[in-house]
Amino acid sequence: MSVRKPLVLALLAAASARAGGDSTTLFDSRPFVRDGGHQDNSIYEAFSLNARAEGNDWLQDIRVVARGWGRLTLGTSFDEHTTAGDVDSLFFEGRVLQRHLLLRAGRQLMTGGAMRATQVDGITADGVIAYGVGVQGWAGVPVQPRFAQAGGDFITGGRAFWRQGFDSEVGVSYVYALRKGYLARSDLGVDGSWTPVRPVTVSGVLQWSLEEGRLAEGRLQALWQVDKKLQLVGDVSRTAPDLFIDRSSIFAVFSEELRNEAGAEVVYRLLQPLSLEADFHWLRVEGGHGYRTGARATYRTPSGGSYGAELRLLDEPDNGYTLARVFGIRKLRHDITITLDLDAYWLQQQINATKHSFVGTVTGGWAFLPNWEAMIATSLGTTPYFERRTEVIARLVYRFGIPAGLPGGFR
Amino acid sequence: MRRTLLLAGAVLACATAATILGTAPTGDEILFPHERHKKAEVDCLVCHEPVYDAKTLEGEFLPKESKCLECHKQKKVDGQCNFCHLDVQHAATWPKRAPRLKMDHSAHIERVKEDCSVCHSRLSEPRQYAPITDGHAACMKCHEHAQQYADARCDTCHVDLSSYPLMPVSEVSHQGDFLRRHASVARSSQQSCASCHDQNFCLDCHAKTTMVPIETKLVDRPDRRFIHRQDFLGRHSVDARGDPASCQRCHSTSFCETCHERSHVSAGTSSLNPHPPGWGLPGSGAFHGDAARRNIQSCASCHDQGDASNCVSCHRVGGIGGDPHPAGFRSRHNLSEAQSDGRCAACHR
Repeated sequence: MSVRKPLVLALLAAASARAGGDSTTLFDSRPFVRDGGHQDNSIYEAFSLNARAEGNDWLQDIRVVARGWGRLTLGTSFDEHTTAGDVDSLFFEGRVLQRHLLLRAGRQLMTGGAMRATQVDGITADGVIAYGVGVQGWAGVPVQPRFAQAGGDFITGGRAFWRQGFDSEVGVSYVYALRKGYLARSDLGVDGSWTPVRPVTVSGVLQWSLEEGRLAEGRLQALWQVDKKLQLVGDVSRTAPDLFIDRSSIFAVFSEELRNEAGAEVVYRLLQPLSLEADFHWLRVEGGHGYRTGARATYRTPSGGSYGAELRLLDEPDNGYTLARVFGIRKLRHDITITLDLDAYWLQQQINATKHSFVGTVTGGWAFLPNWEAMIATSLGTTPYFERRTEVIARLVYRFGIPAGLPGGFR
Repeated sequence: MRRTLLLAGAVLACATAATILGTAPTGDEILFPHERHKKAEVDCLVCHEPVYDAKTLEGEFLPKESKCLECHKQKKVDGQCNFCHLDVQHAATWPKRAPRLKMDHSAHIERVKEDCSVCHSRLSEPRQYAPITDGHAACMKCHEHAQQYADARCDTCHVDLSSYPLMPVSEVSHQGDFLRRHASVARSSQQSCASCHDQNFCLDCHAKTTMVPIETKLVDRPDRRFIHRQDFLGRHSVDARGDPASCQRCHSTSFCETCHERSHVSAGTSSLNPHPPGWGLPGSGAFHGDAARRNIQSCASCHDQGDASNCVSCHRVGGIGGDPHPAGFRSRHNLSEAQSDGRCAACHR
C-alpha cells in the first residue's frame, strides 16, 4: 500500500476531529542574572492543540498533538536574540490492529523503562500482543533546544512488558544512544509497579549501564494507604551520578560514582480539608553524609481556595539550607482569584557573600469570559544574586474545546 | 532570519486558528423537566428517537424545537419563550458537546429491553446538573465492562480521560511528595499516566524546548510542588550538589554552560574568577579535584569544551595534574580501551 492512501484516510478522519487547546500570551519582565540593573522584557505567544477522531475500521483513536511558542524580546535580551521560538510537541498517533498497536510519529516525549522521559523526534510503537504481554519500540533523534540538533545524535530502544490491570506492570528494556557519533549510553532496565492488595503499591527501577558494567540507577519504593486518613511511603535509591552524563562527555570520567538515599514519608489527613505531610531522607554522597527533610500543612476550602505552610531542610557536606514557605489561594468570587507566596531560605555557607533569600509573589487572576483568563503577578525579593529582585508577569489565556463544567481537569 | 520568520508565522497562524475554532457558549439553557414528562408517560424514545439506532455518541440525540412544539405549540404562539428558554434574549438550541465516551446505544437498548432506566438511573431537571447515570457502577454491572476496567482498558469506553477533574487517591495516590516519587511509577505505568495526562502536561517540565519554566507559567499555583520555585537560582548549586543526577535527568551539561556563559560566570567570558582561594592547592579544603569529584556537573557547566577542555591540559598523560580517575576506575578499564574510545584519546594519545 502506498503512503498516499493512509494519508488521505487520515486527513478524512481529521475532518471529523474534535479539537481542544489553548493560546497563551505571556509577558515576563525579570532581572538579568548577575546584573540586577537590567530587566529582560519578553513577550511570549504559545499555543497548544489536541485534535482527535475515532477514525475508521483500520486506524482508530487518531490524535494530532502540537505545542509551540515564539518570543519577542523588547530591548536587550538575556540570550542576545531578539526573537526565538521552538516546538515542544508535534506528533500524529493512531491505533491499528483493533487497537492493539499504537503508532506515534513526530516530536514527542518517549517514556518508559530505561528510556526515562526523553524528548525525541522519532517513532514509537506500543502494542499488546495477548494476555497483557506487549512490546514498545522507540527510535529517533533526541531533541535539542532551538533546533540545534547535531549530526550523529540518535537514540533507539525497546521494552517488553506484562501489564496486569491498571496498576500492575513489569518491564524489561534496553536503550542505546549516540551523541555526536559517540556512545552516550547503552542501558538495560528492569522496572515494575505492583499492587498486591488495593492499598499497597510497590514500584521500582533498576538501570544497568552495559558500557560501564555497573548500576546506573536503582530505586524501590512502597506506598501503603493505611486508611482514608493515613498514607505511608518508604523508599531507597542508589544512583551513579556520572552515568547520568553522556558517556561521550569527557566529564563522565571525573564525576563521583555513587549516591545513596533512604527515607520515608507520611501523609495524614487530620480533617478532610487539612492535610499534614512530613518526610525524612538520609543521604550518602561523596565526602560525607547528609539529609533532606521537611513538613507541610495544606488546608483546602470547598470553594477552591488553598492555604499552606512548609518547612524544608537540606544538609550535605559542603552546604545546606533551611527553607520556609507560606502560601495562599483565595477565590474572591467565582471568577476572581488572588494568591500569595512568601518564600525564604537561610544558607549554611555563604553564596555570593550572602546567606539568605526572601521572595514574595502576589498574583491576581480574572476569568472574564467563559474561555478567557487574565492574570498579573508581581514578585519582589532579595537573594544571593540580586540585592533587589523584581519580576512582573502578565498572562492572557484562551482555551477552547474543553467541556463546560470541567475547567481544565488535569490541564 | 527566515527560520525565525517562518516560526513566528506558524505560531501566529496556530494561535489564530485556535481563536477561530473556539466556541463561546451562550447563557441560554433549555428548561426541560424530565420528571414531569415521565409522569405524563412520554416514552424516552419519543424525544430521543435517534438513540435507538445510534452506534456512537456523535449524532444529534436531543430533540429539535419542532418536536417540543408537537405538544407546546401554544406557548410559542403566546410568546411565552421563557417556558422553555432560560435566557430568552439569547435563545439557542441545545449546545453541541463533544462525546467523551464510546457508547453503542443500539447494542445496549436491546440488552436492556428498551428500559433506559437500567443505565440512566436519574435524569436531569432544569438548573440541576446531576449526572444521568451512576457512572462506572452503571457500566460495571455488566461482567464484560468490569473485566475491561480490571484490565485498565479505559480507552474501550473513554474518548479522553484528561478532562476529568478527578485525582487518584487509592490506586495511584498523588498525595504527599508525588513529584519526587512519580518517576519510579511512571516508568512502568506510562499507560496509566496517559489515561489522565496528555504529553503536553508532561512536557511542561520535561521538555528541553520549553518556553519558560513551569514556575513562571503557573506562578498563580503556589500550592503545586515545583522544583525551581521562587529563588531557586540562589540555591541551585546546593541542590545540585545534593542530587546531581536529578539535574542531569533533564538538563545536559550544555544547558548549564549556556546559562553560565550568558551570566558571565563562565571561563573565557569574564575576568572574574569564580573559584575560591585554595582551588589549586591539594588539601586546602577547597581543592578543585575534590570539588570536581563531588559535582562534576558544576565544572562542566563552564569547562565542557570536549578535547579542548582545560582539564585536559593538566590531566593528560604526563601532565602536571596527575591521574584524575576515581578509585576503582582502573580495575574496570584497561589501556587498550583508550585506543578505541574518543574520550580517552583526549588524554591518552
